[in-house]
Amino acid sequence: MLALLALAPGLRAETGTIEGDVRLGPDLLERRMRFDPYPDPRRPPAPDPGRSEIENVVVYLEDAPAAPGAGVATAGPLVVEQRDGTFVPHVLAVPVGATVEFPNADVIYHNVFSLSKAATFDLGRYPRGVSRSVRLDRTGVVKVFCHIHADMSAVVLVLPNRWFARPDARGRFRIDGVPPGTYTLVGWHERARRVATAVRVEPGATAEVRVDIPLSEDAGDGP
Amino acid sequence: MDRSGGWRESLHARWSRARLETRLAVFGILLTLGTVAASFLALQIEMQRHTRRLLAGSLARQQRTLREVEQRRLEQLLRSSTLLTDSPTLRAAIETYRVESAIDGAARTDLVETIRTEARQIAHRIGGDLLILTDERGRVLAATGRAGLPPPDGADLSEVPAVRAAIDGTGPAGEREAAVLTFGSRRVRAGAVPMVLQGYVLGALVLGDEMDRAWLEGLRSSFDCEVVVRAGDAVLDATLDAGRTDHLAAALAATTEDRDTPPLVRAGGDEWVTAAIPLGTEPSGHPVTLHLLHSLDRALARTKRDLVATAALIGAVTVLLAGAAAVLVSRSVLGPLSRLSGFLRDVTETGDRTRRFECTDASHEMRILVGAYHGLIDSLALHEADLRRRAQEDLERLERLKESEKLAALGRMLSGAAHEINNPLTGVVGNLDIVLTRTDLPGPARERLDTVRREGRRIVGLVRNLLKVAHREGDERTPFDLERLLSDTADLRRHDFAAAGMRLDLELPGEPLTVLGNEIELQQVFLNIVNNAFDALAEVAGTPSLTVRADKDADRAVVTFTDNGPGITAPDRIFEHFFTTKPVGQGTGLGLSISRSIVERHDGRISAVNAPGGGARFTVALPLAPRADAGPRETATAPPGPRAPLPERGLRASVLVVDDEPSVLELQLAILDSLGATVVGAGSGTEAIEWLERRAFDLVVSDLRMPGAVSGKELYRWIADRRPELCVRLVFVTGELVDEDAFLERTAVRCVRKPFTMEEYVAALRESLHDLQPA
Repeated sequence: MLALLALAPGLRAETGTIEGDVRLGPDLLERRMRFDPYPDPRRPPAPDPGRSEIENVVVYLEDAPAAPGAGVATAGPLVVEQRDGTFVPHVLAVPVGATVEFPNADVIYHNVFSLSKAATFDLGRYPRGVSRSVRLDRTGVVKVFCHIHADMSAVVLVLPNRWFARPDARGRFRIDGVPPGTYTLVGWHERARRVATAVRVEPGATAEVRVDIPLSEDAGDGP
Repeated sequence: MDRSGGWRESLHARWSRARLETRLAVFGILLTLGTVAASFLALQIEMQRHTRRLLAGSLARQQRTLREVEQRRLEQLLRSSTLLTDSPTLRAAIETYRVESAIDGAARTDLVETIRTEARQIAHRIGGDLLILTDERGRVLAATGRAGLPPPDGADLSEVPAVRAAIDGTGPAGEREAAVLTFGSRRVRAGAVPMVLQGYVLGALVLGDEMDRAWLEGLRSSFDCEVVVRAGDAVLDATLDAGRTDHLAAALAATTEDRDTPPLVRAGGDEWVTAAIPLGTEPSGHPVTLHLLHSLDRALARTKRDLVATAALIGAVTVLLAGAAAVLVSRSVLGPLSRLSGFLRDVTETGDRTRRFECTDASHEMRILVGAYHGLIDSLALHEADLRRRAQEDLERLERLKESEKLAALGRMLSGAAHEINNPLTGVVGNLDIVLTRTDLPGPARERLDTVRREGRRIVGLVRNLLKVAHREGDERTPFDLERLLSDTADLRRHDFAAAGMRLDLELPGEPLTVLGNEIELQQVFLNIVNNAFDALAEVAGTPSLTVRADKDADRAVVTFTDNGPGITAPDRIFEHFFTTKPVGQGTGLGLSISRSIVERHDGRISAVNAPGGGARFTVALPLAPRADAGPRETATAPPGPRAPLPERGLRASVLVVDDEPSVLELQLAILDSLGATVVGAGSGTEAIEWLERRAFDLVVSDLRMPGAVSGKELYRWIADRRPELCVRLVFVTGELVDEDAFLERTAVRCVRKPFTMEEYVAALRESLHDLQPA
């Protein structure tokens, strides 16, 4: 996806680039349970929450105009795999109208359903090797659950345009091919308050943005 | 005050007078009652202690159990909450609701309804009184439960510590996190657990039970104790009534907790063993505590009732046994005592003091008592016997005195009479002796004079016998013929027997039975027996007879008096003093007792029996005298016979004869003159002394009893004083036998008793003249 986005500035030289760092405040980290209510010796210990949580952040331009056909055609395979009793990835950002695949890679049955306003569906139960898909035509947050395993959940963020990115493990992100202008850059995390930052994009230039998600959910409004 | 004092005194007096049996019984019963009561008290105290310990122990166990149960319940809640909240629909609904309400603030009713439905299902499965689902901020999403309990949606529970702990995800809920929620006056004990999705807290599940009356009563019945719930100092609820609860609350507030042994609380007159269990914390922050209270009174009530019943039963039985034992013991003492008193009454009535009280099977003390009684009786008997013996001795002495006085009077009379007879008789006999010495008397005259002299000498013998009777010669024993005494005695009464038409038979052996003894006394004995027989025979019809029989039996003479009278009423007692069967006034009862003492003084025996053929039989046995003594004395006492030797030679001596009786003086002068002696006569002692001063004499013959200044005694003293050599040449002549024995004995002067024969007189004078030693 980044490769596709990278191609665009090459074709249209008048676009700019946004780069930045995302940092999660300690508040959010502290919201994680510090005890395991369901101890199971066969389970490997949970991955370091600080590092993995950064990957669940999505950065997007809230008020950028949707480029006609942009992203929808080039969506390619958008996949949320069911593996080891979890949805991988946990957070997936897609442009509106995209179709998301939910293949089952586990030996057990899984189910995929959502009660969200943006998309309410139930793909039913299916075994390993089977994949079902859903087309998401409304922007918003789609919470996806498995009706068999209560602790499984995933978030599909359906965005109005294609200018969004997920930071890497170090928190770096880059959005290319942004038409020049002044935009509102939003840092999103499912348990955090929406963090909005104004960013000015110059053609051929790179705007450096720093997104701090300190994140008390009490503040801010939805996207 | 007075009345109680009087009452006490009368009780005391009654107690003192009560029978030993009653006193023992009352004492035993009181003692037993006291013992039972004391043991009852001791037992009760011990049981109280024991029960307290038991209660405390059981309460401590209950406390531990209850705490454990509470802990388990919370843990279980925690664990089960994963299952309860495992509904994917619930989680999805909550999570979706959270996300979307965060974005646009508008609540989706379908999601809310889903959440409520899920909550109701959980509540239905769990069955608690209250179930609340909150969001991650502690606001109520859905609540269900008993009417009136569930808080409204959106209510903020974040300040409830348990809910806070759950939504903060700080750890499992524990005792401290247990919450007490208040809804008006109602309270709910609640525990809260977090709902988690992929490590993030979605919200909290709050489960609670109402602390209502039913819950309290349930606790009360399952632990069988009273329950008080306190928050701080305030009592929230209690199974007790308000009054006692107030007392208890104050006492409970004062007790310190967390001890090993549950504290003991005294309140409202009762003792309570308590245990405290923390239930949680109120929203106000006050810890809420549940107190279990065991009442000691209640725990002891049943035991106490049983104890009282048992003590009463045992007490009653023991009291009965003690009373019975006391009665038995006292009877074992009193039985012999009453027998003894009956025995004593018998002895008093019958006077038979020889009886013994048999008590070999009685108790030791009883035997001592009876022994003392027997000792007393024995000593009394000894004392009495001693008194009786002394009385008898006194009586005998008195009797002898009377007898001797009588005899002395008789003796004095007879002595005087004999004296008066002796002097003329001496003259008659002496002169006859002198006359008969003459050879020129014609034959017929000599024969007549011989007859006169013989008869005169008989008179001499009679007078001597009279004097012998008159003069009681003490215990002087002389040999005499028992046959003759018996025949003399019989002769005394023979006339009376014949006159009364009675027979008096003598059966004598015909040989002399010589007995050594006092003839007069023994005659009195025999006369007494004969007199008694005479009296007894007076009542007999037919031919009354008395047979006196004398026999020789070895060295004893045995005399039996057998009559055919009515016999003797009491042969054993007939010899006792004052025993008489004669009518009052006719007998003294002394005769036979004196007889016995006389016979016994003679070493003899007297006895009385009823003869086999009827009538009485008296037996007197007396020892016979040794034969050697009998002969010479018998002849010596015989009156001198006519063949007595006449003086063959003259008496050549100068003799002074003193006598106040002229005839006797003249007779003596004649006798001495006929013997050729030189004789001077003096009519009185004074005259004799004149003669003795004037010249010497070979012999002095003096009357002992003479009127005037100088009697025989004075004359003797004069001679002993002036002519001591003449003392042995002094011969007294006396007509009396009574008075001067002692004098004669002391002076050893020879004595010729009037009336004397010429031979006796001359022999005495010759002995005095030639044999200087008295015969």
